[in-house]
Amino acid sequence: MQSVDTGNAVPGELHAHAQLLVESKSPPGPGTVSRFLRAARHLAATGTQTGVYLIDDGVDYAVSAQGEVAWVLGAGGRVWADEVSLSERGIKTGQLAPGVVVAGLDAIAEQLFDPAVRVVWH
Amino acid sequence: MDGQTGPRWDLLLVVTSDQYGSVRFGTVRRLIDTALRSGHSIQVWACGEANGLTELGPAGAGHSPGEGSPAAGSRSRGGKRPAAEQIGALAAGNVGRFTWLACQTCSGERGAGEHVPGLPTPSFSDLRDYVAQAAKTVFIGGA
Repeated sequence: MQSVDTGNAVPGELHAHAQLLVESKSPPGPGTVSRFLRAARHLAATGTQTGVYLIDDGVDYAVSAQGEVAWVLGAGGRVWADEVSLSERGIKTGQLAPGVVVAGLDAIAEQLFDPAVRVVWH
Repeated sequence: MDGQTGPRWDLLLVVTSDQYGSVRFGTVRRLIDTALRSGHSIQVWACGEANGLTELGPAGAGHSPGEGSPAAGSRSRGGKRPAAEQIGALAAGNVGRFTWLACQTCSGERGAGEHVPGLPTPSFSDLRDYVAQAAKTVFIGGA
């Protein structure tokens, strides 16, 4: 599987201060905002190389074109959605918000195991 | 601990989320598979429900590992849980690249029985050493 494009990072090269935030929980409810993804937005907006990986119930965020995912993308972050989690929930690629990239765990392995990339799993 | 200096494992995955020890064990399994496929080494520190996945004790003893997740925690006809069989086989087949750490502190608190033979059973007081042996530590949070 092709590895995920990490923006300015060169594959195999350390990219200090990069952040990978893994969201595994679904949106808490109507009218609420994910503070986790809001943090991702602010990290990206302040120049931190920020990626968000949506997995398990977290892929529910991937279908909203107006919500937190759009904020992250608009701030310069990257957003990927786990292909297995999407499939398990019957979410089709065409339903995804613009800019969300479907990716398996293998595609983010480089970031997951890179000591220079800080990973927070929510 | 073996006295080696520097990281010996690429990743220490600390699973404290009960969901990832039951209904979402498949995701943990995929993480392990990803590590092995990509040439990395991984240790999984199993707390809570995840700790019970490798328990071999009699039904009804201690807690109910994998409760709510037939795919992960329920017993097969042979009396073993599918997850226990998977984890044991993976560890035996990938020595030095994968191991499952059944937290003894969690086991003791829950009155758990024996775990799959050959799996380390460190206590929480050893966690610092395991963190030091890993190039990177990721917590999958929970209770």
